[in-house]
Amino acid sequence: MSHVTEERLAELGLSLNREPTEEEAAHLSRCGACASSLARDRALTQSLECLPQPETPPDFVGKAMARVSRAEQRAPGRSWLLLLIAALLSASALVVPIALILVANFSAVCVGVATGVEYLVAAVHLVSLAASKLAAALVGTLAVTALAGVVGAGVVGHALGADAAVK
Amino acid sequence: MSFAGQADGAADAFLVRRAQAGDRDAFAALVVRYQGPVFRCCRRHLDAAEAEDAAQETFVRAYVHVQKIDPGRPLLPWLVTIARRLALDRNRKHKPTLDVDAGDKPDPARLEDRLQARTELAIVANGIRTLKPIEQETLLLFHVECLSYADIATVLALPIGTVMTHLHRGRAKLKALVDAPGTKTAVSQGAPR
Ligand SMILES: [Zn+2]
Repeated sequence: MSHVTEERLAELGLSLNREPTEEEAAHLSRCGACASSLARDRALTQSLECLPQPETPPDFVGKAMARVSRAEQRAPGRSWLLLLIAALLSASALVVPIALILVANFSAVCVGVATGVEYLVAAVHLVSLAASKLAAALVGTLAVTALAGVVGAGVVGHALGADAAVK
Repeated sequence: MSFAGQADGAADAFLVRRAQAGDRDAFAALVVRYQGPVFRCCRRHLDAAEAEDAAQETFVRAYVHVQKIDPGRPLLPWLVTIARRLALDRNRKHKPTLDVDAGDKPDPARLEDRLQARTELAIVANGIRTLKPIEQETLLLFHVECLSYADIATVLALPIGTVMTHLHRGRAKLKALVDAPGTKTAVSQGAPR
């Protein structure tokens, strides 16, 4: 065969374990020009692979993992889950009494108010578990929301109850 | 890709899945495995202290986003992409340009280095600093970190063809330095005359 192309020699020389085809190998064994060109490319590759490189600082892994731990403590993953549950509970503190009011049963409204209070307590408890700044900020919001639900339920229930009594 | 490469890939996939399941020891094993390339990548753009900080931050981000890692794909290009972005951001804040001389320089006063200066390795080690920063980085990602063209293209956010051009241009310049008559003599004599 004719000479191995320059591009092909460069490609073979990019790595020390790229093997020429049988045909190329046969040519390389006979042609000094191609063989020395490949040898130069491979020598350059070897030098590049052996260049002195900066050492990783001592105890890099220990320090990196310590930072990972700190980041993990800051991560809001579980607090968010608790906050979501708390939000759902406080929403139901509004929904449950209103549903009961719709059947215009005053005693059920009382149960609803009691349920609301229970849910409020549960929500506050969960939020306090979350124990992050964000959670603390949301406690106020949730408490106000739930309280509004409870008070609203009581007021509407009372009005409906009075209405029923007139009839 | 060699068998060793495939075995590494399988070990990585295993460790990534364990880390995704909350196993911190598995994540620590990944830090052990990739601390070198991640630190070196940062060191190419930053001084030693900043590079250490950026490299650690790289692993913190990897941990926080561990669920986003595809265990079926090589991890190193993903890590190097994060590391390089962090390093370049800091570099922009602290210095106006890429630090061409981020690698550890051989100290000419040391006997070992003086002996080494007679070799082609020394010509290449000195010559690489004369290349464009992007050519240097491409050569090091290819030959030191053993990334593929495609992975380097991802890391550098360049088309594969451009990566190949930088690699071959960089190599051609280094070959010219090695082949230049008198280069080896000048280097072996240490100081310029
Ligand atoms: Zn030939």
